[in-house]
Parts: sequence; structure tokens; C-alpha cells
Amino acid sequence: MKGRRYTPGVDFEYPAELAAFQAEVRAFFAEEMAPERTRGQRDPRDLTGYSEAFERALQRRAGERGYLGISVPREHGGGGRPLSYKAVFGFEAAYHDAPAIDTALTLVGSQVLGYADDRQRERYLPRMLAGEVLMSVAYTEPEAGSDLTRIQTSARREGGGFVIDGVKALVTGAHKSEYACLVARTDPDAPPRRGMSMFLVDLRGSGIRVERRETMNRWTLGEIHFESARVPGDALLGEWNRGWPQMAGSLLAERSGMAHMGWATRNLEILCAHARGTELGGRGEVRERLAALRCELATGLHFAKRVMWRQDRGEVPVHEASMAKVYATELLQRIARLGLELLGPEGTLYRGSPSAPYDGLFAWEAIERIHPTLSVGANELQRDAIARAGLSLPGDP
Amino acid sequence: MNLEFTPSQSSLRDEVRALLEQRCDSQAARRAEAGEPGYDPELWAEFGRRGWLGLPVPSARGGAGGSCVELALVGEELGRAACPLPWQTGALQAGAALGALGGASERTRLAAALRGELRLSFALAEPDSPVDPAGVRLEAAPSADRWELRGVKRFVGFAHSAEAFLALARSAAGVGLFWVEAGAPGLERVRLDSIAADAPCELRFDGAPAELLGADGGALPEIGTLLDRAAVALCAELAGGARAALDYALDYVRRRQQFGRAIGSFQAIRHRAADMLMQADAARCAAYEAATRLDAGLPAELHVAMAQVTCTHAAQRVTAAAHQMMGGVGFYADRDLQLWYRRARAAAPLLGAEGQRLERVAKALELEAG
Ligand SMILES: Cc1cc2nc3c(=O)[nH]c(=O)nc-3n(C[C@H](O)[C@H](O)[C@H](O)COP(=O)(O)OP(=O)(O)OC[C@H]3O[C@@H](n4cnc5c(N)ncnc54)[C@H](O)[C@@H]3O)c2cc1C
Repeated sequence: MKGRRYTPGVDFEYPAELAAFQAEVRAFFAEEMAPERTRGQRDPRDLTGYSEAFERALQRRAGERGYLGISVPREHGGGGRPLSYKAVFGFEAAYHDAPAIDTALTLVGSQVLGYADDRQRERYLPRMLAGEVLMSVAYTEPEAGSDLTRIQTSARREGGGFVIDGVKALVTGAHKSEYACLVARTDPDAPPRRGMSMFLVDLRGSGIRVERRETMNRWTLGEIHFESARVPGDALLGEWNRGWPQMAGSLLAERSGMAHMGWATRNLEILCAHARGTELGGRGEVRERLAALRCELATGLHFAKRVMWRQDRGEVPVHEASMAKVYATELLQRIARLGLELLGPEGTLYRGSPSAPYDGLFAWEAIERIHPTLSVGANELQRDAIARAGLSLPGDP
Repeated sequence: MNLEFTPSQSSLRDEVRALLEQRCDSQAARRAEAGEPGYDPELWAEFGRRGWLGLPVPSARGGAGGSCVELALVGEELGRAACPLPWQTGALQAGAALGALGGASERTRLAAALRGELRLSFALAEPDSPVDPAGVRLEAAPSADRWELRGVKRFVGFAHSAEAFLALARSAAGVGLFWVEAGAPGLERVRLDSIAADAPCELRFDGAPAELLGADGGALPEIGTLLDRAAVALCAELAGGARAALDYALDYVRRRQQFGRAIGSFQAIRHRAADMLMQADAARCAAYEAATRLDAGLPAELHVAMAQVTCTHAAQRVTAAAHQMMGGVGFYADRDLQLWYRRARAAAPLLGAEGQRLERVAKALELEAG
């Protein structure tokens, strides 16, 4: 109607200020990840695909601009913005393939903010905010994956500190991290959920050995071996024997999965552009599949935005976050699969190979994307959570 | 109807399986893949000694005259063992092509190739025409007493260690088969790095001298037939890999304990495994039906096309599902699952893009636009 401004009720658009932040971050990454900046910085042995030096320099610059801690409360030195800002930063980092996804704050921020005492916070937070430190999460063990009650790594008090024994497995980034946040048995006689504690451990300490194990996608995961490793008393994070609830709480940190959507958006854009530029764009079945994936991309973004929105209102979305995770990680697989098909045999050529289209992106994706569906809460368990928390269905007896 | 292999087919399968178990366990497969020439030459020579390299070549031409079912049986076992060998490019394509189109003067070469002493590879795929022999554009031009080739071939398996290539190229008369020495002037081999790890090369021909085998422009009917047989054997290889990936994951979920029980007891896993079995069996049936129709001389266009659709689909789905069942450890390179996962993805495009594969089925169904 003329003269009346349309005011939408429901609105899927980002508010102006968040959109402006996104544009700013996008410009930052476009510059940081420009080909002349990244040339010669590749390291296939790291998940990020970049050398540690490049990663650290980039994170430091992101830290200087206040991006890493954008959603950390102001009283702790952060930007004090809602969690959606952090999510949007993750989206852009992924979209630009920047080694700024697994930052110390992303992985260990909620643990430090939630459970560290003042002295620990003063020690770690400024460096985390500045991008001057890398940290890992080391919950998983050879016998404890989905079922973390089976954690066997033990820590006992000795002198003023602790002695840790055990093995942590499948730890992303352990080889380059200064610290790992882990959970260990501290009361062997108590039920597991009441007999574990959380630690933030300096990986350069004695009795700690980090082994690099090659993944099927040529980068390495870390296995951390603790052999009577002595750590100081202030390695304990939070309360004695409260490791389980702390761990559960920290898993509910920012969970929109926007980084997944960043990768998905970029990959689908590349495939659409590829089809437009070749005869593929005129082929019915190619058009249909790209169109279907575009619809799915929209759904993935809707699910992620819903999580963002609830988080910003101070809620803790449970089944919505699981829906976003399952949907985005499986969408990434579908996009990778179409990528391999559209690019023909050349699509199977790896990064750095002669004749590899898009520098081997889709060969890498086709292998890599089996991992998000089975880690950070395997999708089977996420589906259980959706059924339980979202649909109130009874569980297994 | 009879769904049982003949005694001689069964014993061929058992022999291949026993040899591979002995000589190509997963450690050996990994070692071979990582080293040079990308496979175990001793094992290849053993294939020659046992006469298996002669299977793709008719007896009248000095081969063992194997049926397509037999080629598929060998393929299935190689797939199961994830064993890298030039079975496709060296035997089913190059060896068979030399047998089909090589004249009397090629008999010594053929004999050496079938003994595993002369290493051949087959140059079919080109940058924009991965799998269609009719779409070949590598240019063959006659010069004084021979031919010269110009253009690019890709995905020539194990090419860096091959001593000669059989290349499809186009002259004014049509597509012909050419013999090119690996060391020929004007031929450059560029190593590609693919997830298949079958050491593929790009061959760049710039006036490389070549010999024509068979009639000028007359390669297609024979080559088409042998490529169909090779494709069906590759389907069986994918089926073997799918089944092996399923078995590998099953073994794990039976033993792996989480939440106080074997994870194989969770319905989410059991249902997934049941679907995988259906897919793996579907692949096997599709491959062998196509093989038996080719052997019987029945119309097989539809069945060869369907086998390619069913087997590529099954191998990709089953290997992905197996990873989901195994959780994080399956992602480590030193676990075997990745061998089948990578092979399934690398083999599929060699049978054409999925759309093209389905298109072939549709064509065989005579679904023409109205
Ligand atoms: C690339 C990669 C990076 C990783 N990075 C880290 C890291 O940095 N830090 C860290 O601590 N861990 C990390 N992990 C480990 C990851 O969190 C675990 O792999 C994940 O928790 C699953 O555990 P698991 O591998 O032991 O699988 P399992 O728990 O053994 O599960 C195997 C399969 O069984 C299914 N299953 C298990 N329980 C049930 C059930 N109740 N109902 C139905 N199905 C079930 C699972 O869904 C899965 O499909 C990483 C893993 C990978 C692959």
C-alpha cells in the first residue's frame, strides 16, 4: 500500500549491524586470503591446509581487529556482541578457506570463560583474544568416543599438582597447540559422571608426547600420550570432579554450524559457476541437481539462523542445533559428491596436481566431508537428540 | 536360471583370492600404492605365470580366451583386496586391444605382455572426453612410413612405468589404435596426483611417432567390445570393494563397545548395515548379469549400462556408510577402509559421469525425446 512502510514480522535477514560486520569480515578475509598472500603457504599435513606460521599470523591479525573474541563479554576483554557475530565470523572464515575456524576461543573459549578462576582467565584470555595461542580439545580416547563415560585417562593429586596418565586420540591440531583442554578420571571409585575433572594442560610439559597420525586426507590428527605427566595445580579448570557437567556445558557453546554453511555456500557457488561456464549448465539433470542443492542450502541456512537467533536471545537450542549440524554436514557430502561427478576424472586430482580443477578442492572435499558427520557428536546421536528433545519420543529401554 | 559359478570359475576365484591373501594384504597394498611403480611387479608377473593376463585375449590370438565372468571374478577379488594392479589398463584394455587388433608382427609383443614382462598401458581418456572412444580427438597424421600423434591423453594408469602405450587417436578415416613407445620423442609424461593413487599420468603428444594397429580408422567396433568387458570387470571390482568395506566395518561394530554394548547392536547401525548389504549384493548381481549376457552374446547394452549405474552408486554409498559406522578411527590412513572409499570415488568417473551413465540406460530403453 502506498505510503505505508512494509514492516515484516518474521525476518530472515541479518540486522543491519550484523550485516555490516559480515561485510567487514568478508573484506578482511578477501584480502588476507588473496592468492598473492597465500602463495607458498600451503601445508597439506595440517587440516587447515596452511602452514602454522601463516595460520598464526592470520589469527593475530584477526585478534588485533577484535574478531576472535567478538562475542566474548566486554568485561573479559571481548567485543561483547551476541553469539551471532561469532557465527558469522565462522561462516566467512570457512567461505574463504581461512585457517581461522579452530581458534583457541572457538574450541576452548566456553570452558575458560565458564570455569577458569580469575588468575587462569588473566593468564589465558588475553592471548586467546589476541590470537597468540593455539589450543585443542582432547576429550576422545581410543575406548571413549560417543560414550565419554568410558574415559580412562587418570589424574591424581601429587604435591601441589597432578600426575596424568593415559591416551587422548583424534585430537585436531594437537601437534601445533600450546594447550589442550581435557577431561580425566579423578575419582576412580565414583560413577564416571561424578568422578572426572577438566584440565587445561601445557602440551610442552614433560611426560607428554604428541604423535601425529596421518588421516586418509593426508593431514594429521594428534594422539596425546601422558606418561606420568606432572602438571601444576593450576592446570585444573573448574571444580574437582565436576568435569562431566562442565564438558557437557561446554558442548553447548555456539552451535549454529555456520562454518559448515560457509563451506557449503562456497562449494555450491563454484559448481554453479562451473556449470554456467561449460555445457553442463544446459544439461537437464545437472540443472536439476544444482537446483535441488540450492534449495537444500537455503534450508541449511534457515536451520543455522534459527540456532543463531535463539542463542542471541539467551536460549540454549538443543534439537534445533542438532538439526542444523546433521543437515549441514550431510549437505556438505552431497555437494562434494556432485562436485566429483561434474568435474569428471579431473575432479579426483588432488591439491597441487597438474590439471586439478579448482586446485583439487573437490577431491579434498570428497574425502574430508565424511568427517563432520561422525565427529562432534556423530549424526546418529544427534538424531537421537532430535527425537528426544525435539519430538519427546521415548529412548531405548 | 543358475546362480552358481561353474567349478572352473569357482576355482579361478579361489586361486586369485588365495594368492592375493598371501601376497597383497592391506599392508602390502598400501606399500605398493605408495611406492614405485604403484603396484607389485612380482605379483603382476605371477598373474602372467598363472595365465591370468591371457584371459582377456582370445585363444586364437594366443591368449587364454577367458569369459567376461572370469574377468569379473578376477576384478571382484582385486576390489575386495583393494590391490593395486594394472588389471584394467594393462590387461583388460591394452593387452586385449593388442590381441584384438595387433597383426602377426605383434605376436612377440603380445606374448611378452601376457607373461607380464612387457608393461603396457592404455590411453583413452582426454581432457573433455573421459570415457567415450567415439569422442577421441587425439590427432593421428600419416608421415613417411609411420604416424605422428598430437594432443593430450589423461588418466593413463601406471603410465610412468609403462614401456609402451596403446592409444586411440583420430585420423581422417576415423578412430584407430596406435602403438607408441614410452620413450618416443615428442611424448611427455606428466605425473598426476589422484585420490585413486593408481599413478595416473597425462600424456602430451607433440608429433610422437606411432604405429597403426589394425585398419586406419577401424578400431571402434573391437575396442568398444573390449571396453564393455573391461567396464563390467571394473563394476565387479567396485562390488568386491563394497562388500569388503561392509565386512571390515561389520567386524568393527561387532567388537566396538560404547554405552555398555557393542555398537552393532544399535538399531541405527543395524539398519545402515542392512542397507549396505542390499547395495553390495545389488552391485554384484548387476555386474555378473551384465557379464553373463556379454558371454552369451545376448543384447547387453542395457545391462552393461545398468551395472555401471548400480555398482558406482553402491560402492560410493557403502564405503561412505562404512565410515559412518566406524567413527573416528576409520579416518586414520592406516585403517583399511580408506582404500575402498578412495577407489570407489576414483573409479566412478572412469565409467562416465552419473548423468551419462543414466543416459546410457535411458538410451537402451529407447527413451527418445518426443
Ligand atoms: C577428523 C576428526 C577430528 C576430530 N577431532 C577431535 C578433537 O579435536 N577432539 C576430540 O576430543 N575428538 C575429536 N574427534 C573425535 C570425535 O569426536 C569422535 O570420533 C566422535 O565422538 C565419535 O566417537 P568414535 O570415533 O569413538 O566413534 P564411536 O563412538 O565408536 O561410534 C562409531 C559409530 O557408532 C555409532 N554409535 C555410537 N553410539 C551410538 C548410539 N548410542 N546409537 C546409535 N549409534 C551409535 C556412531 O554414531 C558412529 O557411527 C575427531 C574425529 C575426527 C574423525
